[in-house]
Amino acid sequence: MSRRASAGPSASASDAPGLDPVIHAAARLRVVASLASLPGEDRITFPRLQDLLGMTAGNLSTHLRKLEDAGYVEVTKSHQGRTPATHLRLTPAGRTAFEDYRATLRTLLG
Amino acid sequence: MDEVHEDERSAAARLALIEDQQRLVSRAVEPDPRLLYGAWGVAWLAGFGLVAAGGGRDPLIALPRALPEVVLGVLLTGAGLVTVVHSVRVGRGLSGPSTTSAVLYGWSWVLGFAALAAVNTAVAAASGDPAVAELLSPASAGVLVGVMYLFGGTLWREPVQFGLGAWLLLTTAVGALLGLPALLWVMSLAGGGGFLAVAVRCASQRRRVA
Repeated sequence: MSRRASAGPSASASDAPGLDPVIHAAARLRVVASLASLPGEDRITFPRLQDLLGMTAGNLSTHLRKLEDAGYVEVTKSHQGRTPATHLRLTPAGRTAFEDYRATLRTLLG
Repeated sequence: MDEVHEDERSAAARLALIEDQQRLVSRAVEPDPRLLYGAWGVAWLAGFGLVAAGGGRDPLIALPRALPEVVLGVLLTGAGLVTVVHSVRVGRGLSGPSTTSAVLYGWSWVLGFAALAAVNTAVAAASGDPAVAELLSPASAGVLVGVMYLFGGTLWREPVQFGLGAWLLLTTAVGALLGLPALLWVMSLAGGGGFLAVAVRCASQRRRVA
């Protein structure tokens, strides 16, 4: 995780140290915040999440891939009859990263 | 530009973004308590009130035979449909432990009332006394509803829902001991009123958060 905690050379002045760059992007923050407000360990299908976020499918896929690569989101595929469905869930690491991110924001506010 | 102030502003904006999104998602995936308690409150208040006033052997108001009971049945069925359709809608696309709990809880209502209807029919037939069925049907339904709300309050850790269940059990028990038509008045006013009070409470809580 330390790899991600250190802001790269491209970080701007407003990228406060300690803010996870994976979820700092506004769109990904909304994705993670949405998944974090699902109860317990529940999963949500891709179209329903897309509906709640009002993002295009392509846009959401891109962000989900980044979150999946970081180990923050778990993607599972299933088949209901012939229709394939993609289910998404925040991993424990993702939940921790989100809680840490929010706690850091609160500290910044003092 | 003061960098510290800039950071604070952007942190505040981020927190607001998180809060807004989480509120939006919670409201979209959780059943709206105002709608559900409101629908059941109206059904109990008007339905049991109508049977209390217009049913039985000595009605307060003259209504066509069986009309109050039919209206009660339609209102309760309507509230049930509102509940099922709304719950399925908000739960679409969700799966996992709490969704499983919600689905099993929903089936508990269906199974409980199916078994209760069978038992009540058997008791009415065995007793041969219509007065038994007239008292037993609303009283046993009130008890089952009360127990289901105790169970729901326990499942979702909602003291208000648990409290409503306790209130329905208490009022139904007292009403049953008082007999007919008191039981029907109690279920209409105290029961239906209880549902509506909880609906109003949920509505004012939501306004405060918004």
